[in-house]
Amino acid sequence: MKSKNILKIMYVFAWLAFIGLCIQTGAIIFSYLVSLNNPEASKNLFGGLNLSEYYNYNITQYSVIVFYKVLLYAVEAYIAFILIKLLKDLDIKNPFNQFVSDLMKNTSISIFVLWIIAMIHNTHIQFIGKKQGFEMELFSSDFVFLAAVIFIFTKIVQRGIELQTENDLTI
Amino acid sequence: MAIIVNLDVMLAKRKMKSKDLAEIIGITTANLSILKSGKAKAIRFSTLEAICKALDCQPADILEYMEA
Repeated sequence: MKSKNILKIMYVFAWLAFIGLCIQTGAIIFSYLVSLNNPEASKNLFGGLNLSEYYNYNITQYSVIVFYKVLLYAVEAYIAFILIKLLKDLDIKNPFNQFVSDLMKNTSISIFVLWIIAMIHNTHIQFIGKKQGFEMELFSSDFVFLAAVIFIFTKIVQRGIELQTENDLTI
Repeated sequence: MAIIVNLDVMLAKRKMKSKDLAEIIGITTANLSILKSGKAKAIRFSTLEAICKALDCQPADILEYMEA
């Protein structure tokens, strides 16, 4: 009963995270489009995200950096969506099934993709930022360990499924 | 699989229905069907014992090894 309640709370949080990240992604895209005609908008794309220095330096570089940010938040939103699906359809009585394993594998791959995008983003920002002396807002890239941990858990779940199947087929 | 389950043959010899055997040995007809079709991964000694008792036969009459 206790774990059921925790999962319900987690489900609500996952929805909140998903909606928040979708809003954030949408707002950045919208602000970016506005900033193409009105450079003032690049000073605050969303939540104080100031890319005006990059805008003044080179519009193409500015667009690429915005693209990275949109991609990062979109992948984060996708991870939140996977979590929603997982928490919605998770059968706590029989948790070891192919559905859970596939979703966990997707989460692990998505986090790994997120890490790759974050690394590219950080390298790009550092390259321009150091050269031009701009303020650098880097994306944390420590979560690659999380991808590895989830991948290991996926392997454990897969073994669990094998054991469950064997157990089910023991007459 | 290299292990063949000859439960059908023994049931025919004893002129017994699957449903009756399932009832006697205390398993569901669905599980008995899994056993008969060779889809089962393992068989418990208790189940084997119950089948042998019900059909009055030896484990070798039900299980057979055939090189794949």
